Amino acid sequence: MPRPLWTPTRRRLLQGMGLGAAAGLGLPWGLRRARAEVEGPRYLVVLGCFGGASMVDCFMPVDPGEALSLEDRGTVNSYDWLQPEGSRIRCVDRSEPYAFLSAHMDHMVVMGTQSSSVNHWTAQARWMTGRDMVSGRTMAEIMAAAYGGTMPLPNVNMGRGGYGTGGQDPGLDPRYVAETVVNPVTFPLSTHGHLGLLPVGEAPLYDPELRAAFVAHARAFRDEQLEQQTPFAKTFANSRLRRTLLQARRTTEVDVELADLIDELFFVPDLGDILPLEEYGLRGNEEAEAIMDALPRALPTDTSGNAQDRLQAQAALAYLLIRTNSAAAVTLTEPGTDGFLAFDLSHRGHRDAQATHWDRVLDVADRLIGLLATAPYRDSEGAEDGTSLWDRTMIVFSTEFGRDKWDTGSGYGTGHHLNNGLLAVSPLLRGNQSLGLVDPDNGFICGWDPETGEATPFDDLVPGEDPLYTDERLPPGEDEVCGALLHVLGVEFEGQVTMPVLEPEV
Amino acid sequence: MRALLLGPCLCLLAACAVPDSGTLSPGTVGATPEDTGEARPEEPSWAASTRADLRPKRWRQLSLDLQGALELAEDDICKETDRFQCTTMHVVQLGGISEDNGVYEPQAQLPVTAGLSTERVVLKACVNRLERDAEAETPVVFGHLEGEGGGFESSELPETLLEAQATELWRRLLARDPSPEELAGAAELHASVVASGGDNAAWAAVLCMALGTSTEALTY
Repeated sequence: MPRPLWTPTRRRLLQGMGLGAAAGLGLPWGLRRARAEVEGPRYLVVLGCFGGASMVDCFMPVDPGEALSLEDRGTVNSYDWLQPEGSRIRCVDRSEPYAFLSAHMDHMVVMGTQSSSVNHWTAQARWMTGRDMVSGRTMAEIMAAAYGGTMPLPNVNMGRGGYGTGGQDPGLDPRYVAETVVNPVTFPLSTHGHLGLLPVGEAPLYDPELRAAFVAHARAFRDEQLEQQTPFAKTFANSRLRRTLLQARRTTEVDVELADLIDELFFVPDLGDILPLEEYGLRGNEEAEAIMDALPRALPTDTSGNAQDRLQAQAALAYLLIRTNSAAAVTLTEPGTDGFLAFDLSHRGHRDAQATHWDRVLDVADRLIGLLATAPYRDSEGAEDGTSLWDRTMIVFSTEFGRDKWDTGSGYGTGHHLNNGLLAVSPLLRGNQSLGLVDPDNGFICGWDPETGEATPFDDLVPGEDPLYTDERLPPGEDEVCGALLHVLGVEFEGQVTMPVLEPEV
Repeated sequence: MRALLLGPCLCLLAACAVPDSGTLSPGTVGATPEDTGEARPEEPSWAASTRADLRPKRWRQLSLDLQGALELAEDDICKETDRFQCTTMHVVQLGGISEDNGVYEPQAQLPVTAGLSTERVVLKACVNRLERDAEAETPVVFGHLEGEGGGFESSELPETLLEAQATELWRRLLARDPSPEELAGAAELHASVVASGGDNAAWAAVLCMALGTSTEALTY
């Protein structure tokens, strides 16, 4: 009988640890930042792989020579595979995964996971909230609350579906609610009440500096007189909505404008007829050219204002949000080459869809890592400490759920499957690990010991037999994995499950 | 009878009804009881609502309000860099959805940039109306600025014109007359704008923005 790893006893033990830790700091809901050896913020990038990115189709391939074939089911999905020198992770024999693995193996952890839903929206949302691990908050909201207290936009979400859905905690400070971005190219215009609104001209209203003074006077009149003395203000003094609006004017909106995000977050240069920044008194970010070199398809080429590649545009904005220390958590979502289905095109043609979209997300992540790795971290006073922004960042490839495990031949399609894997990449992780093994007799990925990483294979099943969903050897679910990743990012909370095997060796 | 009762209610809900243009000519708008020799009614006391169940106006309501109040076509409310429809670009910030981007439900809580995006839309709409009125033979909203002793580009504005213009904006954007204190505040705002290098046009534009972004205008 295999040793149970995810037992109530173990969980209670860890909950106890979490409670004790939470008592040490007064952060809300028992959240606390842990591990003080690296000062300053950490950043989480969730890359939502919409539609089910199957790990056995990328970093946990089954060897074709080992894959079981059954007359009535086909052959367990398998690939020729590669393993760069020094890597404990292997990948399918394709250039993009191989290049990514070769470049980032030391920061990569590939692990088996077990989703709790095969409904797209539900599965995505559960991977965002870790299946309600902290009062229904998303990982991004938790990161924002832990590190984003002084950031103007601590939680930015460019996702959709369940990846774009906020958490369920009504007690969350409104500052940490996700700022939803639908167009990363033009989003900076939403971050200022008047700058860049009118073309620069000679009349006072068209002078940006003068207009700033006029608007400041008008805001003072509105907020200090109208909002205090009118019959409406007195009648609805107790309105929660009204209080929230007024509070935002005094706090978050001021922070956002003062951070000059309308210029700092513009990753495109002046584009003339397409986006005439200078004509409207905007300068854009000084790194725009370098960002365009790294992510050239983030650029819009027509007056729609839409990027050629929305995922590249999301990555460009993510970079600037981190580089300007504006956000602690940024969520991206693979929009698909078709604008929607992405990995879910596996229904029509499994292997092609998986190859196309794995290549896309790996390519964009690699470009984002390149930008972050060359950007020095600066503290609040602008001093460098020798680390890069990448040294403080984790990219989580949120894979939603898996796909059916059997190759039925001739451009086959697949349905949804609970069993899958997840990829996390960060210098904060103990990298170069592949946790769990794929069973070539059924295509399931098994779990592992959270202390040692030792796999718990399904070695007593008849070839072709699937493990039961109650099998304790299955890999961990959303709450265990998300909680453990947050711990690596230095966040502890009540009830958290940790996985020492993910933590850097001291 | 029902229509008589519902009419004022709907007007208050919309908070933007366009008054009869026949009552808005400079010199008559803004006439206070003191001007007409009537006794000013005693200021009522305002009890705070215990329910106070206000709801935010979302992008379409905001756009419709501005279309009515400023007599602008939908396309003329606001375009960023004269290219992108604000109600599309800022739609999520303004409480809407974006099917093209997979945002199928309004955000449960206000985005951080909701207020700033709203200010952009309202200020741009105000300026668009102002620019049209400055060129028009018969201005629609900002005509009081052109009365004797005033002018769009002047920093001088006689009190009667200032109060008439302010009252016009209060009626159009909040569907009520301003109080004496509010008119005094509008005059102070004029002085502040002029002291900062502005003119009558700048004052009128930002006053329009202040009223149009007050919680009285943005909620129902």
